[in-house]
Amino acid sequence: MNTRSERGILFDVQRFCLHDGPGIRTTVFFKGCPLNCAWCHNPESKSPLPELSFHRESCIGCGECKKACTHENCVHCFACAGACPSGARTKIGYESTVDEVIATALRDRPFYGQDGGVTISGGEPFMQPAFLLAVLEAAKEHGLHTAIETSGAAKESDLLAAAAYTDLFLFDIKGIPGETHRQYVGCDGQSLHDNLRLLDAHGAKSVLRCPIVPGVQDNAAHFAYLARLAKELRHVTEIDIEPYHTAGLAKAKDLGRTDVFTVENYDKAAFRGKIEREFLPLLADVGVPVSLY
Amino acid sequence: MKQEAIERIQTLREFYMQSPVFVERVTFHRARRQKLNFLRDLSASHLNRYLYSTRMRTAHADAYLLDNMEPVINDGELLVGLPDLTPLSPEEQAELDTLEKAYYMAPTDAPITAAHMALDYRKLLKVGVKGLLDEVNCRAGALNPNLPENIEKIEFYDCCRMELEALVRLQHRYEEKARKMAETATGKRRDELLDIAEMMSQVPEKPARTFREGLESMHFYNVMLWDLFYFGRVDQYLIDLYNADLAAGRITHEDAVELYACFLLLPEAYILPNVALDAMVGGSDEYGNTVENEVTHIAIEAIEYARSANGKVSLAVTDGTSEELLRKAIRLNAMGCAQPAFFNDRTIVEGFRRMGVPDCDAHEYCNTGCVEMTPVGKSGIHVVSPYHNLPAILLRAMKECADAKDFDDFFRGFERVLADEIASRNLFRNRAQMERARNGREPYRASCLINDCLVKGSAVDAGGARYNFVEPNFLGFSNTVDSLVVIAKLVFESGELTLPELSAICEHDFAENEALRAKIINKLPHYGTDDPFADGMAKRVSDAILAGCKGLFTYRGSFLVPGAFSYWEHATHGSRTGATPDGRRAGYPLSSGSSPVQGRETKGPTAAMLSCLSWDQADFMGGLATNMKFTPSCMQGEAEDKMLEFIRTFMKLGGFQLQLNAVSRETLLDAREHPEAHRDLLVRVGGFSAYFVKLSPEMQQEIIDRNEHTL
Repeated sequence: MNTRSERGILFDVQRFCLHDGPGIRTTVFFKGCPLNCAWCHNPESKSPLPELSFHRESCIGCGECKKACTHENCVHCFACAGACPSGARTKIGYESTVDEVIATALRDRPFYGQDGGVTISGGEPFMQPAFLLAVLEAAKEHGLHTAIETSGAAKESDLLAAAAYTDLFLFDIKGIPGETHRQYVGCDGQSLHDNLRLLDAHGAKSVLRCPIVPGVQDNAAHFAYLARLAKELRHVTEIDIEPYHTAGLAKAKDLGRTDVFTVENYDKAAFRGKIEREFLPLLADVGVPVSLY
Repeated sequence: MKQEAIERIQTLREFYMQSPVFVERVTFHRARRQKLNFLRDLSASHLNRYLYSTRMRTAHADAYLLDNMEPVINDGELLVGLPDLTPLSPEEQAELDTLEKAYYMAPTDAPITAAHMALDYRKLLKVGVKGLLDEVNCRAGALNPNLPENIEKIEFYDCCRMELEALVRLQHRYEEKARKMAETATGKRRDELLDIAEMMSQVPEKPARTFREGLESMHFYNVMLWDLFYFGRVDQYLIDLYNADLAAGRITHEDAVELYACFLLLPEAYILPNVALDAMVGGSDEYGNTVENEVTHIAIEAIEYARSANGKVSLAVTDGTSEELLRKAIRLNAMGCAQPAFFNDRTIVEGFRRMGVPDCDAHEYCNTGCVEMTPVGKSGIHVVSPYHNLPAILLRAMKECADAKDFDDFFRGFERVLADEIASRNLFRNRAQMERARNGREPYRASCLINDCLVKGSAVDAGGARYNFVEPNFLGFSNTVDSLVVIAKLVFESGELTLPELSAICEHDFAENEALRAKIINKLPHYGTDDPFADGMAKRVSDAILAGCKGLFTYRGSFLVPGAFSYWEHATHGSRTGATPDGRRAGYPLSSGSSPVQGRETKGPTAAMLSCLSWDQADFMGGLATNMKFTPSCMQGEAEDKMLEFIRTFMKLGGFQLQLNAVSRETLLDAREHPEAHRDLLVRVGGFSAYFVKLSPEMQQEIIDRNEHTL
């Protein structure tokens, strides 16, 4: 087996993921994303560079960070995070080699059974195309099931190269291409969905993952678009409807972000009920399973 | 199941939960009120009888108690037999304590565990008490009373006879009582009471003829032992009776589930809360073939209706266990029944083989209370004898070996302190065993169902059982592993602390050293995260325990079999153990079983499991539990497939026992605030299920703190 020392920037490897593809999975989170979704639940994944996160509630006030810091203004040396004993200050993002990623996945291999495997998520995995391809190749050398979670923000050639080593795409559908998409995501979305069609035309299997944010995608037009898309594509195996959740807010706060998107008085259970009642019937005839999370 | 049956079970459950044992924690040990009457009457009659020995007096006392018990038949019961649990007044209790000590001339609190054996109920169902009496009479009659070596045997058989005959008399008083109640009863209950009378005319005296009589026979014999004895492999014992009933049109699958649910509920009425009375199903027969029959499914399905905390079903899993059965078991856990636990047949059989148990016995094992393993019907075991507090031993080693020159040197010192502790406490146990052999207190009718007691003419206490393992149990395994990692890293690797400094910091409960404590928790490797350094340390600790037990023998000529589970002793021992180098504060519960230290399994359940299975669990037949807590959403729907894979993997990797806890943090917090609304919330603690609201505040906090896996 080749040793692979290509390096990429990750921000986490989560083991025992139940909702990132079939079976028990090891999910590798790539850091960096070109989009700017307002509701992003992984705000720490946006920047391609390591960042400092400060979780105020964990701070014990020992002052070790101040002792470790030798700079007037922050230069992102992360000395404070290294010195912090409580885990309040942490460096988000680290370099990892292909071999390290695969070694972790192989530890979990006994749990994969027939279905499980590795999922590459992010961020946007295609921000680091060479590293992504190397990880996928190595995973396939070991016979692991592979999945990529992507928004489709990628070069066509990269997509097709990766598709050769990928069993399943978890493809985010963030909205109907157009002005609203641009407003909330930062691009009009047409090229993203064209990339999905391209993958489909090449026979790549995909699950459509559809975040539903109050006031953005909770309308009949959006669900009608999803239904059209699912019927148009030949290799969609499932549609996941994912109601907005607030897990990203706390993380954004720790990263010092102030311009955070919020939904007033959000009640997830009620919102989920509304989706189930009003919109799921619009997906009744798409011919693939629809899951509401 | 029929609505009527569901209502019956609910009513019984509510009724049993009002029992004094539940409400006032009255122990059922040895039918207390009858015992007090017996002892008060002592000077008048009993000592004037020809009761030459302590053993005879013990058997006579039990026979007296059996003869003086009032039969109890409650509304709605299909299976009967409960001890009288009227509480004693404090004065009566004090009187009982004094008289009891005087009568037995021994402390009443056992220096080694009593009971915890699984009896040979297969035999009872086949031959009945009458068959046992025949055997007793036959074997006693064949002995030449002129040979000195036979005297003790003859006395043993006399003791057995006294108790067995009294048990049969009690059984027939139940029969009479049922008939009498039927005279005044009306409608359907009248027929039920007549059925009960018919049943009590038969069992346990005679062989069981039906599935229901099988359950009654086991329950009646067991409850009238007034202690914790276990049922063994009920699906194997009952399947023939069930099939015969089915062929004769006497029973349906649903009827059997209802009966089994009644069977599961009975212990709620007479066993202290937080103590389990297990039966085991599944597993394999002596040729290694998977056992899974309709009664296996009936027992598992009954859990959903009974929702019992004391009456439990354990599931032994083999490669051949069907997916259908495992899915049922997962669903029950997801529903919050906290049962069944999953035991790994392959690991346990392998463990018994290593202990020299032949295959014909190695496959028929049972857990007796928590996860301690014993062969069924042939083992006079002492479980959790004693509890060793590993972190306390480590703290001592840190003082005694303060001048160690490197980590290996220190570790050798720790091994020495540990081995000394095991040996010195084993001597104490052996003296207790010696006294038991002379003046044993186990009921003689228990010996009648432990092979080879009747063959040898020797009681369990006297070493009559085929196997006599003593199972010492080691608490705080993971605290010890993590603490040793801290010592290796901070004392011997970076040198930022000396051993005396670290000892002093622990003694002061990390006062003024919060930053160090935070660093230990957040920056050093931990057991439970699939970290090779910490897992390597776990292997060394487990080897040290095995080495400490090796070469020590018991009074009965057997050997020590370690375990590392914790019942709730990790909380009691934790409350009197100072802070430990792993960052555990003074008084906080020790880590539970072999699970990672509370809150340290930060890399998810696969990593936690890989750590837990990184050392050989088959050597710890004294019992090991791997706890995993999941929210129900992690086990239901699509996730059920993944949980199935998770369990299969645990078995493949050689795990011992897996416990799934399905509960949400919100539910727990709410239950703490509003206990009245969550009286039926079951959680698993170590090897047992408990009503969350009945646990101490510390235990509640610990369960809330324990990592909850949700993704």
